[in-house]
Amino acid sequence: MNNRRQIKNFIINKDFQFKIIFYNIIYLFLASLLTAVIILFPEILKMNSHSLSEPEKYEAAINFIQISGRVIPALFILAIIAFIHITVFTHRICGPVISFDKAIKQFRQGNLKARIKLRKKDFLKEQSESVNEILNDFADYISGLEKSIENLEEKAEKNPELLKEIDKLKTRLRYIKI
Amino acid sequence: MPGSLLFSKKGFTLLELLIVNCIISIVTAVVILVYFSQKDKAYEIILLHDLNNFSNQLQVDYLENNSISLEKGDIITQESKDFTISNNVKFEIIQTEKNDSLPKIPVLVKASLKNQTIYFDLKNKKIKNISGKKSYNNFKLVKFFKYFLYVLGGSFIFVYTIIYILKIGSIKK
Repeated sequence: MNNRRQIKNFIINKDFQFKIIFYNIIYLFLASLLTAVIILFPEILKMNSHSLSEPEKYEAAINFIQISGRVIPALFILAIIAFIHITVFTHRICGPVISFDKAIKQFRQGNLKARIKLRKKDFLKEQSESVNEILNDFADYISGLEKSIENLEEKAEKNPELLKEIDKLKTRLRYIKI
Repeated sequence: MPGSLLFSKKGFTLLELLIVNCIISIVTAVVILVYFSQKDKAYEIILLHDLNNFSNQLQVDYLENNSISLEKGDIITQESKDFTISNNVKFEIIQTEKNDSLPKIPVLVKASLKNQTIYFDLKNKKIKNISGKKSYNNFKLVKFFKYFLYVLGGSFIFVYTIIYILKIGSIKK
């Protein structure tokens, strides 16, 4: 069972991750623009007002220059941090999604030992534990059934009709490889 | 949410990316245009305020103290203790005038802050000339398109760099 993924590879599910990153960059960019506009708009209004005196306009102009000098670099830094965070976040979401997918596919193909394995910082840990418990129960149930069939086989050695029924049961369970 | 755009296996088409990029670029170009024009206006307000102060201070010095010692080519900054000037503002005396028995008095000064420059007539307290990026007076379409193309090009380079560096085959051509 090969359920391991490369930890350093931050792009696991290209389409899914790219979409999340792309949408988030757009929202982030528009939010940054809106923040800058909301913060600077009162000073712009004061600078363009005809009712204010020259010293008031001067104060507004100084505020505009000072605020924009602080806000714009801060928004840039915030955007870079958020971009890195989104990439790491999608990585931690995509990892478990792929693990779920792989484990369930392997289980469906008959590998009852297949389990969901997550890394230390992955999300969806509780859900993966629940699914693993279900897979454990199901594997135990299948093993129990096989043991019961073996016992039945031993007891029904002289009964051809019963043996036929047992063979049918075995055929139905044959596709499951433990 | 199976079936939603986020979880569907379809990638973005080139047209979809182009439309999204264009809308964002238009919004950004407008914001940048307004920002730079207002920045220039702020510089001009600061310069005019300082020039008026400077002119008043000169008058006081000239009439009351008679102690003006400014020559053509002299540069006055915030560090010059005699005058109150804002940070980063620079005054250069362009022209002086000499009256009988009185010291020379500056009549034309060049005030500059970043990319904004004003030539100010101290005698009449009037602006003679404004150079630099005086773009706030009229919404220039050419400038808008310039910013629009910059942002559009930049965003495309950014998106395609991500796609090709990370080798994401998400764009259907």
